[in-house]
Amino acid sequence: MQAVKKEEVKVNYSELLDASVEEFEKLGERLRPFLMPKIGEDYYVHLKSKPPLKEGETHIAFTLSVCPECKTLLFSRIFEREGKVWIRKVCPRHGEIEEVYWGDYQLYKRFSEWQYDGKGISTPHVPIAAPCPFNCGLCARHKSHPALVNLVATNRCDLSCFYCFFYAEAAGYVYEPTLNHIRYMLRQARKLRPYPAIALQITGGEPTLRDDLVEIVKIAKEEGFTHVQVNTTGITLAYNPKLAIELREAGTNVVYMSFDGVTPFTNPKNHWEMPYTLEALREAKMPAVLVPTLINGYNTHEIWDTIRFGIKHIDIVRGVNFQPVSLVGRMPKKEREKQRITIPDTLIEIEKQSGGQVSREDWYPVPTVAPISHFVEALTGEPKLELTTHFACGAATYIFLDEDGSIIPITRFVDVKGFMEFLEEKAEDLKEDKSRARILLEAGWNLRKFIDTSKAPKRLKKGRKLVNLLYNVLVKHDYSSLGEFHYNTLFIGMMHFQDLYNHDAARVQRCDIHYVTPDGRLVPFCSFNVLPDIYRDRVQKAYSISMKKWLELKGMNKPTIAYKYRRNIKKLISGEIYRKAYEGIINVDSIPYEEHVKASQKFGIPVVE
Amino acid sequence: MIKAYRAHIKTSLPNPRSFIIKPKVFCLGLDNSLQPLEPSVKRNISEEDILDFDLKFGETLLLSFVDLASGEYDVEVLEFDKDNRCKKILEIYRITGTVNTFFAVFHDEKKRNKPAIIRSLSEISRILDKSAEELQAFLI
Repeated sequence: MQAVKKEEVKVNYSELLDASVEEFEKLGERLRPFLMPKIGEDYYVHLKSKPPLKEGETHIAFTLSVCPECKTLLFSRIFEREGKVWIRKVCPRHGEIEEVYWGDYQLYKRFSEWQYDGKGISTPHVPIAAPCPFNCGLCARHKSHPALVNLVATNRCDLSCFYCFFYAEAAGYVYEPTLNHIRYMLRQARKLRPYPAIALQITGGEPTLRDDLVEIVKIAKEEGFTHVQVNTTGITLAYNPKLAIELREAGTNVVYMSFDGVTPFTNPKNHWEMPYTLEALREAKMPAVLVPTLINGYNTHEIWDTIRFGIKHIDIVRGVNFQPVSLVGRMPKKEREKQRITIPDTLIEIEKQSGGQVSREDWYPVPTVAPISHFVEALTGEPKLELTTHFACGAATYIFLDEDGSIIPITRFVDVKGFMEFLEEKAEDLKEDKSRARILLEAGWNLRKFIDTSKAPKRLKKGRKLVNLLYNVLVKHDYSSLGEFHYNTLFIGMMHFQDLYNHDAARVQRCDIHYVTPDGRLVPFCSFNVLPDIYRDRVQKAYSISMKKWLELKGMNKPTIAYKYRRNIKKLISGEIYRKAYEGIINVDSIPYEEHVKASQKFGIPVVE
Repeated sequence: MIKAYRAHIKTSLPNPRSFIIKPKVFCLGLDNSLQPLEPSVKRNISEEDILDFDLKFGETLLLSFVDLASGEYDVEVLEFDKDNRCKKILEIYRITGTVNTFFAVFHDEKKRNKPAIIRSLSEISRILDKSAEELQAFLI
């Protein structure tokens, strides 16, 4: 591996505004090799020594990781100490770096039993030309196909949150691919085999700032994406409910919304608008998923209240998907220790705050459901979507709201472990050409063993309802009865995206949430955002347009690149919709108006009256 | 120079797997004869070998240096000098352990293109112009 001189790649995007899909394809293929990370410029490799194990520590595994300072690829040790899991690496230039990897060793052990690796990518978009994770695109080493593809529709945003460096003004350019360019990018994602991407998230910036967002959703549907979600703060939708209806009619399946807590202090981003956004989504019959980013000590005391908020709006909120904070950029150790929260810490906090209504045992890692895919695949002979991320990346459960208001996690009436082990065994039997009819009969007969109907929500208790439902889905592929299963059900999940301190290349290789880049690559989330200078920023800048040019093209001469949101708190909190949305969750009258204003301004969103 | 790998690998978390990798390297001579080659150098794997290792085992076994690093490994790198008397050089790998399989890597000395990975015995037979029976004799 030799050092290569760094050259900035840049296209004149204003000349590509009318370019065809084919022209973007040719350009992507030409530029891709120049945009890939280069050794000696973007990263280094030092694999000559392994980090030590110290007294009182128990070794778990080695992995590869990068130095947060100089991006040298290093051997790293994952180990247990005082009930927690840690990662340690030693950079020859920057010394030892140690970080909490998982906050609870017992949960780590339980989750580690559920690893299933995917089949890899048989149609890689980049050749193997650099060590993992400096070759993302995807290459033949990658173990999981995409479960969700992110498309950055714009880097413009109507907010200027104090911690964000991504929006157009901060970046210094506008990145906003044309519709033909987007079609090319989506086709690149659909080309992947053995299983093409079927789920798309349109993200930003703030994607609702694009006038043609509805068009983008339609293009995604035309290109074969069966699931399309829009990632937004929801603020635009609060003021423009018609857009929610148009997005729904175009085929949007769900709106994915930041929602960091239930008070103005924990959620200054969209606390005041969220009630109106939910109302707009109700009108549009558009489901929502709330996405709280958790920062230890900042909003962690409101985790259960956030779930309660989701339950209160269960008619429209389908899930709450927590994201323990990814500490992007460089951060001193003390600050990291203060802010860091990991998946098991969150699970334990939920157990505490819910008084055991949802316990740590109710959660499973993402790949737990892989045996369902294996079974259906063995039955049909067709490749199926597999969720095969690293076990440490995420956790999930379902909770059911029963008629008497009680909360029942799915694990209380379904033997998840037994059920998945059974499916895996039957999938193996099917592969070995054992009698299909006999296996199906056996499956139908045995399903009841995994369900304790006496503990199920009342509406699912009658007869063999649950068993029939599972049989219909797994064997007959009849999903019509799933609606009843999902009624009054809330998905709670979490995905802990990495940062440079807890970075683990074994997790990157199994990532199934990818970004499609303008040069037609698919880059794992934790490479795209954890190594932004060599992935996200480099490729988006290459295909960007200067702010000056963008304003010229749009006929604008404002100092800001786009409309910046100013909030009228007085008006928002005086509405009945606001009060009702938080009723039973917080006492809205207990917060003085001045405190509302301070919270918004501190976050970076101006207040008007 | 061509590198082949003889290895005992036990990967660790997140996915413990084991592999015994045994290579055989052959020269397909200008007269179509197939002769085993002897390595000029035998040494332990180092960071300089990562890419070549990943190229050969990433696509075929979904095994990369990241997996290797997770657990225990004993990997011997066998270096073979290029020989003008060979029109093709063939690395055949027999894998046992978590998976039992084989594959071949072809280096076409005339074309100087990227080594081709072939997983089907009939395809190997076709390229070498050898019958499956003849090939079996070499593989054993």
